[in-house]
Amino acid sequence: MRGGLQVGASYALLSLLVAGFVQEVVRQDPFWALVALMGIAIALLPAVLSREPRNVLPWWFVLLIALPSIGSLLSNLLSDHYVRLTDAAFWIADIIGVFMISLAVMLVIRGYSSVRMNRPFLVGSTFMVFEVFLGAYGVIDYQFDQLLGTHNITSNSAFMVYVTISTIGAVVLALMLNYYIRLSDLDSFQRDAVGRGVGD
Amino acid sequence: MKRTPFLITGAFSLILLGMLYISLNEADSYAYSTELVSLFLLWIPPFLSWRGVVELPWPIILLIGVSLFLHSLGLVTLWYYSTFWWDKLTHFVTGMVVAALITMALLIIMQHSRTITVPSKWMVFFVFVAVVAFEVFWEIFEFTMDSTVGTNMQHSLEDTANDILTNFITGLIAGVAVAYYLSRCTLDDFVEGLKVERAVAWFRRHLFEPPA
Repeated sequence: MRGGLQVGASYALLSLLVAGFVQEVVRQDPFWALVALMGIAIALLPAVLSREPRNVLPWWFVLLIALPSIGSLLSNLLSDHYVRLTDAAFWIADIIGVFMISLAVMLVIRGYSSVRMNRPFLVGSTFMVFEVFLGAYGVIDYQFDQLLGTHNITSNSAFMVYVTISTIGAVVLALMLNYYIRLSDLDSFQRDAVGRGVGD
Repeated sequence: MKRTPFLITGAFSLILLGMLYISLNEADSYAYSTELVSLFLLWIPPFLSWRGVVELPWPIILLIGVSLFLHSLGLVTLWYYSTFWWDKLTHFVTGMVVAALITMALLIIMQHSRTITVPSKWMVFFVFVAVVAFEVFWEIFEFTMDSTVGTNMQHSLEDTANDILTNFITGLIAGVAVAYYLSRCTLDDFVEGLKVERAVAWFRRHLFEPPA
């Protein structure tokens, strides 16, 4: 069980996700609002499923999930002071954030359902869920651009460059995750992340 | 090799050869290169069966044939450009092929692994995720081909977004269909018919249990 300070840090970081969600709603960017909302839901899901508030995702996990929201909030604050975060920094934050949500989804499934998977299957599935997020990005933002007249996706090539670079980034993250779990142990990693290992 | 899959492959080969002849006459390089690749893809299942790797069930071979046929037909008749739903139809059928192949792969893995179990109700999720992920890979492939070779596979943002949306729906339908099918048959019966022992032994030897 995690200590009170760590649990407090997780909930404090969750408030950043809530702020990020509100900001994206105000900005009329439905995909990133949905990502923030999913981040909140998946961070709280282990606590809800185990009926133990301390089983919220650990602070480092929530921090990584909240990176797109933090980047978005920072850019909003800093833009008033003529400081602009580079596109590359945003992209990296987005890729890591969405990849970590994908990983959390797979770990919750592994920990709280009858689905059983080994390390390569978990890493591969995480990567595939990440690709689903990319697909959802195109579908949701395009449809909302048509409905609301916003310009979240400017052109097909801009969208495809984003998708291609994000996929390359996800491959790198998947290889790093695979290596990390191989060095440690999948069950202990899962127990640390979602508060429950297989067979607990 | 069994007779039915061979007959299906032969019939679709003749149709594709006919389309290849038309495309060569019209000097449509994109169409005839696509038909050549389609012929190559069509003969992969019989080749795998002949080599004793896997024997795909004939409905899946039929589905592969139909998807390759529809794609080539759209190019020969230019229906890809004149009929707005043709592209969605081909994406739907191809999504079904991907779903069938992913399901088979997953069932084979489950049958031969002690560490992977996916109950039939969870197949909805995994098939859906796989179909959409492969659609995104396909869009990346199209974009790469357009950017490097100069083909015109992606027409617009609307086309790309709607293609992905089509496969979101395909993934959901295929996932529900797979879950329903698997709830009514046993894993052993299905996998035994595929005759994959040789392929599984190869994977075990080379990937999972490397020689010392």
